[in-house]
Amino acid sequence: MIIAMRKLSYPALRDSLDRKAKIIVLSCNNCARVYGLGGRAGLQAVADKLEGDGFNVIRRELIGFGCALDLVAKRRKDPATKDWFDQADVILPLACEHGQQTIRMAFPDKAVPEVSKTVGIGWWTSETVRLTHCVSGVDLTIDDPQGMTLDEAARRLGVEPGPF
Amino acid sequence: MGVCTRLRDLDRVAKELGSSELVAVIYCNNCVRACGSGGEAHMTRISQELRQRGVRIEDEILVTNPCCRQFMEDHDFGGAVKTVLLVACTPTAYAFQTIHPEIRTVVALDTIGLFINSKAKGRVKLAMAFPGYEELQGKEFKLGDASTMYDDEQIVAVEPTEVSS
Repeated sequence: MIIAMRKLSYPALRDSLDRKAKIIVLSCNNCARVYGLGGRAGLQAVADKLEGDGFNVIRRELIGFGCALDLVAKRRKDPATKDWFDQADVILPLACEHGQQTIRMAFPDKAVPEVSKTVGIGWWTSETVRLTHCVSGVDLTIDDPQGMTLDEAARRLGVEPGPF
Repeated sequence: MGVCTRLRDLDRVAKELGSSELVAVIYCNNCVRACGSGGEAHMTRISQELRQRGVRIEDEILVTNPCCRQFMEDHDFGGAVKTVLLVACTPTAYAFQTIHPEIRTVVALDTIGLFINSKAKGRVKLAMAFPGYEELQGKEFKLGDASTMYDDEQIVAVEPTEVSS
């Protein structure tokens, strides 16, 4: 599974958004559910916070795979989602960098905040997620043969694990 | 989906496995399908080619998603199997070793990077590379066959835009 982490704190995200903007929160429900940024729980967490702070969240959208360009692009044409995405100003991605990228490809006219940093891949159980391999450019040495916890990896990389 | 892998040279894999020990093969059936490096469609062929090279395959197990360790926890290898071949990305070997540290693991795939895919275009694009494969970053491959690379690039990346107005 791919592991990504948050580049933004919630206050930093909040301060970067316009309260008048129509926002769709779009979450990957595959890897992002496991590393905690997205999935139903991550989606609800940030959407609730934004609404509580007076932002105009017009839709909460869950997608099976954020890295599948066709699935993302389908939201532009599907009758069930088209109108929502047409009127949105901002699509907030809860996904890895690839998920962010596919959203930008499918919706080049929308603002898509840079939320996450993809750090590498690893394995997981319902109790733990372990980072074992970092992508090129991520400066992190993993000595533990079982991999590194996300809390530890986030601490060393200066990013934040889990949901907003 | 998302981890891009390629099947290693099977002569080398067979040499690592040897012909003296019984081997179980765990086949991932997730990301590998998009890369054509494993999964249900390829397991018969890969096992057959390994057997032809003298590998003593005792068991073949198709696992939906072996990077989730719980998918591998229920398999009892009965003591006869001393080596497991993982036709999966490298982290699954780490996960497997936490369950069965007594079993030697060999990984049949090279894990080269992370992809995005378009079924409509029939392609996967290597969006990020792992160390050693940086020269492939941004390259596109045939969906279902990551050994076929296209020189042109058709899945266009889009730069981030400003959010606040």
